Amino acid sequence: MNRSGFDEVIHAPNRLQICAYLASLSEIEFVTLRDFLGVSDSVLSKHLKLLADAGYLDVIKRAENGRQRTWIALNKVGRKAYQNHVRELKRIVG
Amino acid sequence: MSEHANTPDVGDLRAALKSVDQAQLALVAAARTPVWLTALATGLLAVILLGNWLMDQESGSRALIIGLATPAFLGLWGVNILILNRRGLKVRVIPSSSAGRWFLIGYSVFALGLFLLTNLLLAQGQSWAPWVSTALICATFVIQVRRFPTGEPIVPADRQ
Repeated sequence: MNRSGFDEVIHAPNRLQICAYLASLSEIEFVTLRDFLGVSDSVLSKHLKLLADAGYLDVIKRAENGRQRTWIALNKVGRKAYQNHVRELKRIVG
Repeated sequence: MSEHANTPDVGDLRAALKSVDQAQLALVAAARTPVWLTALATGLLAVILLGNWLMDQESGSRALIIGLATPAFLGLWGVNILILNRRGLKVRVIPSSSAGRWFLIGYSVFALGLFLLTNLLLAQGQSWAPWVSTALICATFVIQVRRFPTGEPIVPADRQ
């Protein structure tokens, strides 16, 4: 689809929800996002990789209190793409 | 998608928008500040506001009350950030969307305006003003932290 704002990468159901969670937050932990979506680690990793490859999100690994935690953040490009996509959905739906 | 691969089905798109709303509502529920923390923070906010308006400035009691309550209030904010961090969430201080930023600006203008108006009314001998203003500011604070913990105003797509 070549509509302005409509983004095929974001539009897939799980990826749209991932962006919806991330848009309101600075960062979300991988396991929290997985639990919100109710998917397996591998499914979430696959979706995150597609979004990261599109340049929409950053994956940050940090050692906190002796354990490794993986945080996901929507970057500026991803935030803009998500906002444009939702705006386009609303425009089409009317 | 319907007949044409390039034509989005409106029903599908509506379902997609609904899933966005559901995600945001689930996030609000997960990021909501605990009741005990909201109650403590609101109590401290009331102490700061009433202390500022009603305590005697000369005796130093006003400075003491505000000096104790303000760090405690900020400390509770820090506790809230820690609780969210343990839940795997990091909330933005300044909302990313323009709606969120306008929401924050609107609330700040409301609180500041009420604060200045109360100072004015108090100078004119209206002793009820601090109580009403404190109740209003605390009530809106509770609504803010309980209903909009991420700072983003959420309006479901079907209500827009």
